[in-house]
Amino acid sequence: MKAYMEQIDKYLNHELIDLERAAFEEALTTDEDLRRALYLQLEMRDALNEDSWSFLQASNQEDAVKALEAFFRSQEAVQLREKFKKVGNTQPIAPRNRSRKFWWVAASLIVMLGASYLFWPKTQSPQELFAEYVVVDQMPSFVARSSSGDDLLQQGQLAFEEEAYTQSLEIFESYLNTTEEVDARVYSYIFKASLLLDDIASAQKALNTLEHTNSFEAQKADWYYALFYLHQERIAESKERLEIILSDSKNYQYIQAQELLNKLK
Amino acid sequence: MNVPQDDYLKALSEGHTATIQHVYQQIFPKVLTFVAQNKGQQSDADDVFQKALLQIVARYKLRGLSINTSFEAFLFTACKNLWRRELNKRKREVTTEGVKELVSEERDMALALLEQEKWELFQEKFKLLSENCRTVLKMYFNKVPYESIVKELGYRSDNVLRQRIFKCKAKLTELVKKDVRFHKLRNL
Repeated sequence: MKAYMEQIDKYLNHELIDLERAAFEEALTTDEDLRRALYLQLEMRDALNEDSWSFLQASNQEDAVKALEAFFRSQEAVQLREKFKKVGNTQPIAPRNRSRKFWWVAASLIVMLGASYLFWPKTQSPQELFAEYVVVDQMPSFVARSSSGDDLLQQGQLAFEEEAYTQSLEIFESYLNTTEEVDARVYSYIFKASLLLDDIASAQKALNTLEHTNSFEAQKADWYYALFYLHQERIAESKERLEIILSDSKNYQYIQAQELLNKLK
Repeated sequence: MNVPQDDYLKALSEGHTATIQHVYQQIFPKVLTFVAQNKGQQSDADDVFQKALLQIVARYKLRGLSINTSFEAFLFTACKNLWRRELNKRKREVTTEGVKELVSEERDMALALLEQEKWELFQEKFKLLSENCRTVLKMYFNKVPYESIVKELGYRSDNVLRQRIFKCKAKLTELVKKDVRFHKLRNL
């Protein structure tokens, strides 16, 4: 045991000379105990190193893997995961921790509020820019879903795509009234449909709700706020949101935000 | 909401909405922060969180899991490990030049669950070591250079430190090998 461990340590620490290393690797092909001892040391290193992970080949526990696989495939597990997802989409999150940079940008933009109007380029008006950019992001799809509550989502989506915004809003309203665990993506539709109908209060309310859901969809809020303010011709506030998007290239609509901001400058 | 640890398991396995809402409110923000600080996005955090919940339910239903610590801490650790695993998986795919092993999501989740059990076994045995052994091995396994450990912990020489590491590892190996669970979870 002790001899094994010393050799294994040297092998793993690259402290064996070529001849010793070759002999060790040769021994591994025939000595099962040595092989097991080596694997144990490797597993230990991976399990206790915070940057590594000890993966499993499952060579001696295929039965356990199969049983677990069957569970994860079962209707029960699929429904449970869907439930976790739905509840997660409806959870409010704590207000975002705005960085010092955010407040600096916000303050600077407020100071520049008047100036932005004075130097407003004449080529494209805010309304023209709004019309151009309100259509660039793809709306989420509910089509893959099948339960009865989700049928309303599909109908609402369809009406939206046919530009029947009032009808779309009525359907989504009915969905909100009959569903306990709301799919956060519905707020994106309500926001856009309301804005396109010039119902500013409803658009803002939907956007505010979306921003505070604990959902992937909430990442879109800054972009939607930029559009909302653009529609209201509140250019400084629109730019403020665009600046926030540009603080991280992973943010939703990063490239479009950069383009729109350049046009607003 | 004050819930006994095992009641969490039962309630989650039954899809109890209030319990799911509670764990989301209590733990998800921490998971999101961890994932975001480690090269991930909200969609990754969502995925990890849902998989960790399902992993815990599977362990409760199929493998008799019982939690002795706080449920919140247990779930957070499961989430952290699933994300560490994912990052290492991506690293492996890159180092094998994009050769991606085709494994179904369900099989991958099954393997992740067993790997989590193995990780817990190593952690449990590690905690049984002396404080000095834990300190030395933690630095050693996290690849702190020998010279730095010697300096920081006041060993007389590199050689003395190596002997100490060897003894601590031998003790840990012995503890792990003695546990019947290891023989079910090892690779070979």
